[in-house]
Amino acid sequence: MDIPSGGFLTLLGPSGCGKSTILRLIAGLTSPSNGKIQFGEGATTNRSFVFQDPTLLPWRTVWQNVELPLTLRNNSTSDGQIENVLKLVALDSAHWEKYPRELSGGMRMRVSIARALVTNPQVLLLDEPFAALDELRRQQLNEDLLEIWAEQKCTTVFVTHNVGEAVFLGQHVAIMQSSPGRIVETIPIPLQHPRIAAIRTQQEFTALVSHVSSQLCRHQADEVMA
Amino acid sequence: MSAKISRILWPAVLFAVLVIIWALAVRVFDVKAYILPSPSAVFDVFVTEFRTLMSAAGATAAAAGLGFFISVVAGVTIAILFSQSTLIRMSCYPYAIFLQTMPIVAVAPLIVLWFGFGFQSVTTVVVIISLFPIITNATTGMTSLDPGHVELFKLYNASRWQLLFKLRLPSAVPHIVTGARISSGLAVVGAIVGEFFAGATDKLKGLGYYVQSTGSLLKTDMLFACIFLSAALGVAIFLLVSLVSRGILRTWTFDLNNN
Repeated sequence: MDIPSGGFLTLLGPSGCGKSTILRLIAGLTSPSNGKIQFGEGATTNRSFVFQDPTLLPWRTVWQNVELPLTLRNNSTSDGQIENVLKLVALDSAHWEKYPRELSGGMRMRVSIARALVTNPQVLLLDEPFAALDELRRQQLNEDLLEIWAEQKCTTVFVTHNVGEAVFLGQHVAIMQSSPGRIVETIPIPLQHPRIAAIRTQQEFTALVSHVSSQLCRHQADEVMA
Repeated sequence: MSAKISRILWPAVLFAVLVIIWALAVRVFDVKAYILPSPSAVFDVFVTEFRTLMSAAGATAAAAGLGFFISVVAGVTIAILFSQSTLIRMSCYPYAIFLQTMPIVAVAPLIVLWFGFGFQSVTTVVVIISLFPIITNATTGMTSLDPGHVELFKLYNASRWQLLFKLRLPSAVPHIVTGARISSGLAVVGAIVGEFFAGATDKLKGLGYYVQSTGSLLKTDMLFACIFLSAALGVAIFLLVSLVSRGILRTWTFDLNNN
């Protein structure tokens, strides 16, 4: 499988098919037992990961949480950089000195994304980051994520089990199957960029969602038969 | 009436009733003063021996306080060592438990032999008795980290030191506070026990010393005063530590799922 530089790929599949494992392999959190992960020039080290939970440190403020990756890498921390990413994730400066417990679930996720972006990653990996949010917040964050992606131009891999989300976000949707976990089909999503909220009600979008859904079900059925 | 007032009022009422029963019982049954002094006799001692009692309480509080402080610093340091290597933890942990199960009354005479009579022995007894809860709690806190946080640090190639100072220690703060709360109560007990054995110098006469000496001299009114004062000192130190820990824990709330 190939992910083009600056592209947006969504991984879609049932639980336990290895979606998260692929992300962790790309992130270097797990080593492959077999095969290779290769990066284009200069993109090898600068990867960021957005976990399923916000995983913020409760004793650090929003600002300090976003600062953490820079501190850990002993990079010189510039306030401007932190300010930029916090603005990019649309987090009002009134919240910057707050502690995570004072924020809503959606805002915590925004902080988590800001933290991932602060190192200027070439590869951004997201592991079902919005699964715990309600539908409205999820849609809002999806739209914002696309804007961020358009601005940052980082190669993005997004894991989800929500078909609508996968289609709305991805340039390609890769469908995965379990035992053994593998990618069985990659469906291109020819929707125009920038994609806005209204796209969800267009016929082209709903047609794609139902196509991806039926493909997902078909592969599931194959698996059951086999 | 507010709940706060009743929480103070009713125990106070009960206290008054008990004191009255006590006073009546002493009078009616004509109990000897060296068996059970009347409440007024105990109160008299509080007034006449006020300065002695206060300086005794001060000496005990100083030993308990210093010993407690040493326990916190040493306990956290030991827990840091334990968190760095399973081998160290496995080899040393049984001895930490040994330290805990050893009856302090049995060891105290040995400590007096080694360190002599006085403050240093009393403080040593305090440290021995209050160290264990800090070690166990701090070690638990530093080794049971949120796996998500560990991955995050791994992702950014955090060094061992960064992991220790930016994740392990801050994660362990609530555990350390819990350990300190338990230890603070034990520290007062330790100081009294220590003084019981080692408090007999001219300079240092703590509550434990007076418990021991007035007991054997049958000055039971003074003994009662010392017992009450010891309990009050324990409560005071416990409240102080609870107050400080509540302040710390407010910043350190771990409940990230309250929304």
